[in-house]
Amino acid sequence: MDDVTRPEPAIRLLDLGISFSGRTVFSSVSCEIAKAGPTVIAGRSGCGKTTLLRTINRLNDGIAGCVVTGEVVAHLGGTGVRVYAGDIPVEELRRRAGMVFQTPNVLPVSVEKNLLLPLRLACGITGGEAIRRLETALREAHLWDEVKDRLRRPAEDLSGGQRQRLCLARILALQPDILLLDEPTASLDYKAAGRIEDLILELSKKFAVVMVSHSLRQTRRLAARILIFREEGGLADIPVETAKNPETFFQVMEEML
Amino acid sequence: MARLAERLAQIFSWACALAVPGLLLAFLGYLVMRGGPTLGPELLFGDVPADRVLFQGAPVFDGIWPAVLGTLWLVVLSTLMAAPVGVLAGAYLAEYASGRLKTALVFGVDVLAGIPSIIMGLFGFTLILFLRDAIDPQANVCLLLAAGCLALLVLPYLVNAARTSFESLPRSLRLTGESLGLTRNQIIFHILFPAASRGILGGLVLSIGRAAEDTAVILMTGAVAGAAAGPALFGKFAALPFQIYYLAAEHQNRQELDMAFGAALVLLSMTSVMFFAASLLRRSLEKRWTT
Amino acid sequence: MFAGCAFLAALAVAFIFCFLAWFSLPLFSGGRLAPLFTWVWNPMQNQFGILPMAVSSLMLAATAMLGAYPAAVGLCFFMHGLGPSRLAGPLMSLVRFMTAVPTVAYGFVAAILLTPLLRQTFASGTGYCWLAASMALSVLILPTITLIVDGRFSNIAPGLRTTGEALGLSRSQILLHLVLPQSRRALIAAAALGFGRAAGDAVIALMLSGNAARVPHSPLDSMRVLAAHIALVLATDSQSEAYASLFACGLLLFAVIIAVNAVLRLLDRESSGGPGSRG
Repeated sequence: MDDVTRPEPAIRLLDLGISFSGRTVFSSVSCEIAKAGPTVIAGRSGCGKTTLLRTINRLNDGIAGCVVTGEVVAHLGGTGVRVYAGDIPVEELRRRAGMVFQTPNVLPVSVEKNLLLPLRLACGITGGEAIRRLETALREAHLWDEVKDRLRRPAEDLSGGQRQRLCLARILALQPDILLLDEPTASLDYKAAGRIEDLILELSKKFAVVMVSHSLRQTRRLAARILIFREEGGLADIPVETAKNPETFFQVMEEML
Repeated sequence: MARLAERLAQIFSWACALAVPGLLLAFLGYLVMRGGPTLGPELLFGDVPADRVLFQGAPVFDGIWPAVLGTLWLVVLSTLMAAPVGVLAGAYLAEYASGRLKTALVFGVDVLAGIPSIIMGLFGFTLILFLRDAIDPQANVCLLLAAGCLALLVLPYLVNAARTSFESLPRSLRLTGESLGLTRNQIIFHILFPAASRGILGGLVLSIGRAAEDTAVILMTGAVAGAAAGPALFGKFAALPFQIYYLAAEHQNRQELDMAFGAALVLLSMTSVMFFAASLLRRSLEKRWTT
Repeated sequence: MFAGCAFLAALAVAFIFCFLAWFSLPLFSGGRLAPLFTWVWNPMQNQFGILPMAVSSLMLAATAMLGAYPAAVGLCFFMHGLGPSRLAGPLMSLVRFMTAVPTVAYGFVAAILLTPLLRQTFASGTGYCWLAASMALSVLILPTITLIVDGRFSNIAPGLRTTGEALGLSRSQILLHLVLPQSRRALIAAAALGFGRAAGDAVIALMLSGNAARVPHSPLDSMRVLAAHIALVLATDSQSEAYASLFACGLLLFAVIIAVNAVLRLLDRESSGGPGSRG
């Protein structure tokens, strides 16, 4: 019965810590993140929000001198997966926990190939199935109508907002369970950011969305749950109700930080 | 006194900036002036009609056609040998190797880059001496051997071009690949390699120019003057640089000297085209990652 | 597969070195080495001394550097402050283009133009001499040196110029007293690489130096360098003793290259982490 009231969390951080060449970024972070969201992580710049997000899909592993302690359990494909115990290959982990970066990182190839190349390489999907996934993903990202006539054009020709939606479509095509969004609107203008925000709200109904944001306005608009990343370490909840009123919200934020 | 040094530095730098281009222009001008009028079918084929040479394989005795063919063969063969090894080795050094092993390998490549071509030629010649002793008494210097030695000569250029092309790619490209769940090999082959390809191509083109102009290696590995027909893999061969070298010292008459000027101009044009192609490739590459 | 290719490149070096060493091994037994390190090369009389060639190699490389090195630094001065800045780009392109000119073309034009000029001017000898080879070789190694020094200047000169001008220094003062001392590593690296190139060149020396196997006493004397010696002996002699001396020449040249690279490596280690000077 407990399962009904408290569904399995999408991500559990268990005493998580990370250091680079002996320099500790954070330590002993524990937290449960539900599938229902979006969950927004806020905090001062440089306190390790991006690093935290990247420990979830093990993207820090490639940096020399990186040591991770603790464990992350992610709910992927219907089961809990211990990320650092190596329950699944790191490539599969990254595919199922899709990440979008601050600046749109389209590959220097065509729009179409940006989706088809990862599909072929990471999932081994080609041909008709790949085309179907391409269209579905682009529709989900509300990009289909804008690019359907120029799928073969260089992805770099798209506008900033379009490129970021292409990046979203690219991970949606890989059919992830979790979306990790690292300040996805940081490099975009107000209007383009608004479209991405609409999209995030929509996607959070289907996927577990964890997002880092610098913008208090955006946090108030999107967050179903707000986590503050504090300098002395650890994540702390801010009641979402406080966010409704800007005055109290800023006040609480100041106190927490 | 100090003022004098500054004044001298000023005058000297202006003198150099005038003399070096002046010298180069004089050199090029003289070469074009003497070589230009010789350009034409006679330079290539002598008094044999072009169609008989091209379609019936008639021998050419007083043209540079066999030398042009020989140089083309050398370039193609040595590139075929050096390019795959060089590019993959460069990718390895940039993407896989680390620590002491990388330092040692880079040192090896640097030493290889510094080896004078005459030593490479001596190596090729020694190889033949060795083969005569060990395997086949009939072994002799030939086109294949010369191409192999040239491949060794240009190999370090290729390795370094490939290595710097890979290393200058933005880190975000790698991160993108990783975040999409691609394996390291997939990232290298499908994302980094296409992005680095222009730089690699630039290095390749430059190394082709280097292989085309080298004289010392072929001097010792089977180049001959006066071959009348195109080269065979296991035979001696004519080549443009050697033809120029030979005629410079041995020309008997005005006509042979003119032929040497023509050959020098043809060779210079070949290496210049390679050079400008490489610069264009490099420039478009730089533009791509800086904007 | 990747690793294999990298090892192949490194292996090639080891292979070439071992091959030459193995073939020169007989030199080191039965007192065959001593006759090589003498001052007379006369195969007819069974005299196989290569010392004149070794000394000539060093002399030619040194004089070529004497011509090329100051000119290269002068060009870099011109491009980084002493000349009009809009000429810097075209001048650099020109220097780069010089790397694409075939060595044999330099040698050929020098043989046709320069040697008669020297012959007439000094009214002695054939014109094929130390001076002729040295001049052509200077042109050949000029771009190598210029590119390295320019690489360093491009990194530091713009910043230092701002600093220097704020202090009221003239452009020559900035270059002489700020930029030059800060470019020590690049200057040494350029000297080492330029010297290595000059010492290893065979074609210019073969075409212009006259190739008499003795130590020249004046710039108008003929000389024969190690690299040219290798080519000449292979082309003419076929006695085993003469062959054997080739490998000694090869090893000597190899030693020069290793020394050059060791200097560069030392420079890298001395201030690792700094901007690379080996563009």
